[in-house]
Amino acid sequence: MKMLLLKILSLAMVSHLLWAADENVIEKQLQEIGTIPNEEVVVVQRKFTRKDWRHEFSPLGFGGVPFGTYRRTLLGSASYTLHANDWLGLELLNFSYNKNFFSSFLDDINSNSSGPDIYLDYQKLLYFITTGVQITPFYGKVSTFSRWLAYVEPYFSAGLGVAKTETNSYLALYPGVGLRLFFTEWFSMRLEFRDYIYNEKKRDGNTEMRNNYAVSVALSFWLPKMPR
Amino acid sequence: MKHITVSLWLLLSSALVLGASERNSAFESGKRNFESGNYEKAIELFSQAISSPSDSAQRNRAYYYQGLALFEQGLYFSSFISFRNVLLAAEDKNREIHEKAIKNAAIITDRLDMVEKLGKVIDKLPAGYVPGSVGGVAHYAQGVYHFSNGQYESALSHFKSVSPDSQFYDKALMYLGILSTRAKNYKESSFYFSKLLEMSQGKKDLFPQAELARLNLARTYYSAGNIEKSIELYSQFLSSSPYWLTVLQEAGWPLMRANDTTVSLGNLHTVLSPFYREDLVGESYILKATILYSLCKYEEMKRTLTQFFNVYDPVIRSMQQETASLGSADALYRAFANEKGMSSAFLNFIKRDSGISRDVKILNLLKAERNQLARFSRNSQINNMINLIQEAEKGLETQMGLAMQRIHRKKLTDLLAQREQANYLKVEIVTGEKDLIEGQRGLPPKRVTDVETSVASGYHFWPFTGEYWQDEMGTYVYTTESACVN
Repeated sequence: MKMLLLKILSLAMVSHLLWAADENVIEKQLQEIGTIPNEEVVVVQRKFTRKDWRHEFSPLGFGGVPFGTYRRTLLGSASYTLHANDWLGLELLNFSYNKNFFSSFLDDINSNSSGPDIYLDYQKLLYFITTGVQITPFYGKVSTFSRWLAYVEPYFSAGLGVAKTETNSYLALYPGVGLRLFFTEWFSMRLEFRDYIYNEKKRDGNTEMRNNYAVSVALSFWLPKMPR
Repeated sequence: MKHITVSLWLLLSSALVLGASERNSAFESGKRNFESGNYEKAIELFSQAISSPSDSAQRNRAYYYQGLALFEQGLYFSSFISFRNVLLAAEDKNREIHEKAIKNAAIITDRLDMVEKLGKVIDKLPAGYVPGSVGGVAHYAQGVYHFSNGQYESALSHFKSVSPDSQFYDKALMYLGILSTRAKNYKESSFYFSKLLEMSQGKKDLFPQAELARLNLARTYYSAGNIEKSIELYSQFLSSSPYWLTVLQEAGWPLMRANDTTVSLGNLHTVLSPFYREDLVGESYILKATILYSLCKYEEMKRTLTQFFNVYDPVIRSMQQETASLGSADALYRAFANEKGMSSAFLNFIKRDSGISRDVKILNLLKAERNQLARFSRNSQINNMINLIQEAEKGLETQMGLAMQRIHRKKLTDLLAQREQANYLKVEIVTGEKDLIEGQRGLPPKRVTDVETSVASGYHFWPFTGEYWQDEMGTYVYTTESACVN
């Protein structure tokens, strides 16, 4: 009797498990078919920063070439860029006026040294005038404190122009990387890092490649105000 | 004896003459001060001229100029009272100022949203006392008065008499559209709203009116069964519209009728986002569940209905409690003013109501005016104005309370009906799933559809990852296909 009961109980358990498994499969399938995953929801937006044939005027830029031990330069700049489309911009003109400051580093060395004074062959930078291109492969948006939204575009730039020092003018090339931050459709801010490279002529007649790592921040105004 | 009589007569006449010259001097002095910009002094002098017993023509002119001076001081309601007093004592001698009094009173009452008060006064004016040049204004004011009293036929007749060159023609068109909708005459109502929309295009100051006309027109076309036209109008609203959220909700119905689940579900995705889901948008849950039912997306339907119950069951309980505890209109108004004792869902909804927001602004204007009037020297005139403003404030508070009571009752009824519908839909899920299984004798395999999404130039798309961004509201699109087997 006991054995019979045990057999009936085991049979019941097995069939219950099988039936439950079937039900689970059906439930799971129903869930899969009946759900709308996030991938099926899409945001379709007009691009906030459409740039097709828009003019970017940056009349106010400040920055410097701050990385020198001996010489530091402050610069003020203005530029005009014509954007052919969202990813290609032609910076037709960039002018930055430089003000140089020399640190006390050399004086300190000379005053503490018993040997002859050291003089460094440095030329004061006066200005850069350049023209170049900007490539903007990325576009995104950032939220600050879950409240304010800004649209950002990192970009790469390259170009050439003239670097004028107190004694000479040089052909300068620059690569650069920057970030554009749009506050409204017609007002943005640019943060840029450039390396102005030119072959500087020394007093002894030799030339030496000079790198000027410039960092700048500029405010930009766009025309037409609204993208087409 | 003769001597005494003659002397008495002389004394009386000189007193009369003196009195008259005093009144005249107060009025003339007031006028001089008004013309030189000393409005406060002018108001006081006009009050004196009004208070002293004088002939009615002089008094009416004093009221008129007092009204102008009060308007210059920004005391709009008091200014209206003065112009109203000119009209209440209308007589032949003052016809030349009737026209100006009506015009000015109309501008003021329109700003204070109290045109019916002017209409009531004009309605009582004897025939012939309303100059033809302000006929349009008078008809508009009377129309509003009759409309507010529920006398729709006479309101209709007055609004139809407002000429197209009247400054209130656009508002008259709005009322005509509303009255035609009320009478279910959709052909006429669409005519009036279309005309109003056409008139308001490109005019910045008429933007809210244009948007309301567009919304009413879309609703009219939907009611008349013209689904395509209705969808076309709903699609014209931008996020800058004051009715944007309402449109996102309402547009779902004609879109569902047109089997456009892509945009309708996308719109509802915005309405049911954390930004808006608690703002008494229960209907959107029901609409979304209905659309999902038509797509046989039962799991999603279950989730939507569960969310509805989770969000709105507490709101319903809270609103039922409010019905019991805040029985009167005054209590409701006080709860709204103090933001205490009212559920946040209903409070947010009420704050969004354009009528209530406008009434709050007017109430603040009246309170500020009453405080400003307290600066003037207290004579009977000023005291009377202060009392009338207090009455107007009380009246407006009661009006707001009654409006909130009506809205509260309607919203609670709607929510209860939506809850019932949600329960029916829950049953439909079980039936639907059963049909799905029985129809195929098992379940169909899950269809893997690779939807290629491409957008027009100048647009881009972001995948939705479960995170809601404010700038993405109103831009969602569902690429879901139907899961139904038949």
